[in-house]
Amino acid sequence: MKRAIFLTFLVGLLALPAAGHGTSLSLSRSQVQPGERIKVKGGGWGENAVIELTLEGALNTYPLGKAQGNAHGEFQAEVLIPAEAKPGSYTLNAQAGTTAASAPLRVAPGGAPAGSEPGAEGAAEERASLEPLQLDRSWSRSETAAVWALIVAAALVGGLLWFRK
Amino acid sequence: MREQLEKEKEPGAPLPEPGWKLRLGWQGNDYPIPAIANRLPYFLGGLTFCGILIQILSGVYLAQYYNPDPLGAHSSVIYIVERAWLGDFVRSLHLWSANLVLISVTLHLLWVFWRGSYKKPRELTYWAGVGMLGILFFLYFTGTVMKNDQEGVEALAHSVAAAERAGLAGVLLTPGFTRSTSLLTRLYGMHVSVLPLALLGLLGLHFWLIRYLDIHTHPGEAEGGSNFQVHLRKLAALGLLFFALTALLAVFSPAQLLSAGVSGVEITKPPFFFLWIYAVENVLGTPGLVVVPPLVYLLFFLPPLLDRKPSARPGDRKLILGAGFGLFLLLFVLAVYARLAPAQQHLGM
Repeated sequence: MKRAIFLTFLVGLLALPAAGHGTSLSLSRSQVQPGERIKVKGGGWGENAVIELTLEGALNTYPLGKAQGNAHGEFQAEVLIPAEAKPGSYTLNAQAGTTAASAPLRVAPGGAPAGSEPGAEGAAEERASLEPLQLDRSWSRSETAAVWALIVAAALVGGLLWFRK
Repeated sequence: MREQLEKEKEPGAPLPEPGWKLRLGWQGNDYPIPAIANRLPYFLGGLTFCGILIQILSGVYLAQYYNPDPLGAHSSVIYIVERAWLGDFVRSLHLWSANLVLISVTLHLLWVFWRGSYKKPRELTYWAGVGMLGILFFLYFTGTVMKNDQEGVEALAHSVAAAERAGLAGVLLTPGFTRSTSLLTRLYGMHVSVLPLALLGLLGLHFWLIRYLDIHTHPGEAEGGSNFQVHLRKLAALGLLFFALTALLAVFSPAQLLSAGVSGVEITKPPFFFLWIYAVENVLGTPGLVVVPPLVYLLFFLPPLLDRKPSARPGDRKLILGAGFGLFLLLFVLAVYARLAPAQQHLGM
């Protein structure tokens, strides 16, 4: 029985890569600058599919528009990288119904060469500042509960261990 | 293990089932230690170890979200703070435990120095500790750089300027070493792999030598009186309280982040532990950055070589104690001066 479960699991694992087989997404370049255009093409998307394209970064997601697939499930589009996109690592996502694919894309600061050193994130026109960023530090209930449970548990167990004879 | 089981069973009775203590080798910690080893200063090394454990666990969590690409590093830190579950807390815990580890390891070093515990035959134990001290400071530096905010960018610029002046000795820390990847990414690699591995290796050596050579005592101090299991229990207790304190600091004083770093600007000062280097730079410029910190670090290795008298009593070691604590005081005064002095341009950028 255990062997059968294991084999089923193994077969399932092997079948996983086949699930998205045939769907492709490729970009004409791996690095762009804000405000530039980039060509996107794909195949295996289903007949006349409408593919929604988005640019997803760590902090923002930008809609890039929709592309129309042909009868063979292929599409080709040219999209504009928003000028307000901050330099960084992004993922260009394509989605049509339940079918999805993504490709990595780097957005480099204007004029910065590829692989530039730290400091590149701060655009040249930005001013250096000593003021800490005002970040959204609000915690969810589960976060607050987890943190205080950890602190109280650590203090209690620590105290008990110290005074144990 | 069989001997242990034979010892525990009644004569003629079948061997008992081995318990968890036996399975974990807990009995191996059942040996006498001096009663003074359960005084607070003797826990400073152990507390440093507890802090390192917090660092490792919180660091592994942060590594799931951090992006070591110079273009994405700062954004990923913002993501950690604002969006990752417990990210803000874990990041602050990581920073506060790093600060407390540097404080506890410095106090540990001062205590060892005061007690003369570096003397024969414990030279290697001491040098392993000094090696770990250097690694801990380098870990703190690489952690500062990884934020890629204004402080991180300036810290890296200073380090690159010093590394370029140092020639072959500093080549690994220059962007020119390779163009296949960025220096930030390589420093991240050091921060999460090379440095922790080296640290754990030295830690293993340090612990083994302490076990092998026993805890250092002065003549007249009782050899026995306690047990290492008691010491470990008390260390676990202090370690948990240390965690609770660190977590409270993380809650009430979360780690700050400046805006994305802009190159070619010098407006920040380094964290407190590095401020004395900033003061040296104020006086001697970038060349001082290349020469003075390595020299000061080398001085830490000297006590076992310079102080070779058999007596470890402080009263018999006035000269070296005066020199050692004088150096420590000088570094502290330099740090305070650098804190109070206005920010200066060192790199002529």
